[in-house]
Amino acid sequence: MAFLRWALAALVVQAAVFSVIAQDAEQAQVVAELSISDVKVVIKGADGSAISTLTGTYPKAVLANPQVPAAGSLDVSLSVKKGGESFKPQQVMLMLKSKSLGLAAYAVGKLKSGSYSLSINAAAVEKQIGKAAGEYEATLLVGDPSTPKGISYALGTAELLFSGASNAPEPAAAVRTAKFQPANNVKPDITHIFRAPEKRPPAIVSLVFAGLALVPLAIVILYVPLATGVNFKAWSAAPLAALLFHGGLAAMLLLYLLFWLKLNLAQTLPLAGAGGLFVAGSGYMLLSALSTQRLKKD
Amino acid sequence: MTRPLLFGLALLAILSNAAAGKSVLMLLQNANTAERFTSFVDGLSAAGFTVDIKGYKDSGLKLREYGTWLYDHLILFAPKAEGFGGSIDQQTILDFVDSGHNVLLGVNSDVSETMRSLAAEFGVDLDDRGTKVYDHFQSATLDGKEDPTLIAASDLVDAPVIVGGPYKEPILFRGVAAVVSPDSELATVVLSAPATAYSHDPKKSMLEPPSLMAGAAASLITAVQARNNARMVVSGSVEMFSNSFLAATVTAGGKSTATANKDFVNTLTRWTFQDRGVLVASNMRHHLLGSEDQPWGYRVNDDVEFLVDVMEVEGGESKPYKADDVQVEFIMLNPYVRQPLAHDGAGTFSLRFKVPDVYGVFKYVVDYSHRGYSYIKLTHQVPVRPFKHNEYERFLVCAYPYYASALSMMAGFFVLGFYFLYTK
Repeated sequence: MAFLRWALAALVVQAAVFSVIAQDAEQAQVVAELSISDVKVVIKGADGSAISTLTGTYPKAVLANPQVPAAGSLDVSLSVKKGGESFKPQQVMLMLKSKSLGLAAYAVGKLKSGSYSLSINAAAVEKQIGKAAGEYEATLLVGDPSTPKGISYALGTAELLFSGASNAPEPAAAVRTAKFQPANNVKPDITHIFRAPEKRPPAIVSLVFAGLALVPLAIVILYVPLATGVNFKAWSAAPLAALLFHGGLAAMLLLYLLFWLKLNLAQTLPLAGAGGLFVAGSGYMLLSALSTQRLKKD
Repeated sequence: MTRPLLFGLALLAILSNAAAGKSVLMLLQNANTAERFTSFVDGLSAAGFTVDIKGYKDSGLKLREYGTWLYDHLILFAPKAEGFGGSIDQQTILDFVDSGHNVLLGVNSDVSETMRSLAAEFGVDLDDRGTKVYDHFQSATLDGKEDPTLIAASDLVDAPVIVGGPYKEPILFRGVAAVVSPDSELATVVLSAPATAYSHDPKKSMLEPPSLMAGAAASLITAVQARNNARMVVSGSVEMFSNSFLAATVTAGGKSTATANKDFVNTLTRWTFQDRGVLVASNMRHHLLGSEDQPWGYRVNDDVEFLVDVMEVEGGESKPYKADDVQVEFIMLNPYVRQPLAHDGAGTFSLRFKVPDVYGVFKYVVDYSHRGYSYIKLTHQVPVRPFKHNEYERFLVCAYPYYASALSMMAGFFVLGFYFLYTK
């Protein structure tokens, strides 16, 4: 009797253990994988008509860098299944990564009668990352919290055309990311351009005219005494006064020269006053000596 | 017997004074959860900070008493807080920042409207409550559990002064994203979400970009440095600072690695509390080349030299600042000269230039703003006078005819004097 009871207990325990193992095995099989199918890529023109339609099979790329016109769009449609049944994943996005900037723009998928459709155009990209004309890498991202792995389908590259002046060297920033933000506030260098000095005539012109200015002086010194007849015999009438007078005149002229070269008016005027008095005095003496000499001759 | 006692007391007093400038108030959702952050707090204590941990609803909470601030820095790790206990409220925190003190704000998906509006006042737009950052391609597995909201991020800003040395391991993050306005002058994105990540509330429908924060535009950690050099860092994940994340071993990208959280949050918090990346500019001087004293003003076309000393303070120690992008401007309504300053390795930045040939009242302006360093704003007025009457060029070759005619006039007068007096 005791033996039967033990056998029954062992049977029950075995059943429990096996059922638990079976349950574990069942749970291990529940996590199914996502799969995408019927991937269609359509490039639409400005009026909404399809320019080209491509069908893609994951994971082969379909886009071979076609041009998407500025008012057109790039449309992708696909259906998502998990474990064989149609499924609504949390993330169905199209990522367009600009090759020139390194920034990415996104479009979110909308469910329409069992399949998802995504559409992105130049205006949407401009709102997100600014005008960046050029090649974009298109990637389809499908993921859900219930599955460990998401599906990233690299569709290829497309070239987006932007309307208007999209060829500015630095498009205005529309977004900030860790790698795409200003590092400092350095502004362009400014060097002052000094006014160019006025143009002067060539030196030879000035020297020639300086020479011309000296020609009358040459005439006065060389020709006039011959033409008018100057004799220096009258010098002996009052030699001291004559010396003082002509010396004083020469000194005044030297003072003018010094004033031009070095002195200022405050230093010059007293000297000129003293010199002037001296020249006037010696000149009076000379003139009176000369006139008495002329009167004596008559 | 009393002498060593007095000496000990004096030493204690000196040490407590040395710790002044480094006292931190840390407000948690619940003061009992303080042991979740012991590793983080130990790192701060090792850097010289004294951390006071309290719950956000404590009735005796005080930041300010009779006009003086009781703490130098504030850590807010209470994401669900709607209001604060004691005498703290949003205006007190904003006054705290306005007087030059720093704030580290950590939130998570249960962020309250109070915390969101505080972050908005700082200049950071956090996403709504209930949103989480998901990534189905670059998430990490912690303790065998798959979690698409556990992000293994490595898109750090290129600013070693804020984030520290190059990290081989990823930084673990779980929380909300934020965006920074593209024309912001004060905010910096420190950690960006990976390109495949997005921020979403599973109970609501998905938004359209650009309202949807997706990819690198979603900022996980944002740093803001106000114009008075006060620093505010908003981190979308409080868990990033917790012991479990600091010591975690995760599986990311197929391999199992440790996380870089420990060194990263320590360096980031030290930057936030102005222990790193503080610039001190002093001794702005200028002189004419060939003389050492500072002139009252310049004359046009003078050759001058402008100098300023900039030191970088890290952990209380000053060392010379080395950078090539500090600019000085010589401005009278518009900049006439804007040139970079050259440094000599000992912290002296200098520039030699020629004063423009325009006279007026100019001013030197140094307006330096480099990511991660405090701002330098210096101005100094300098009048510039035109040439005096005796400072022009003389004896020009093109004036020789005039000199010749004047001199010949004088010589001719002298000679004619003889002719006049001594005719036959």
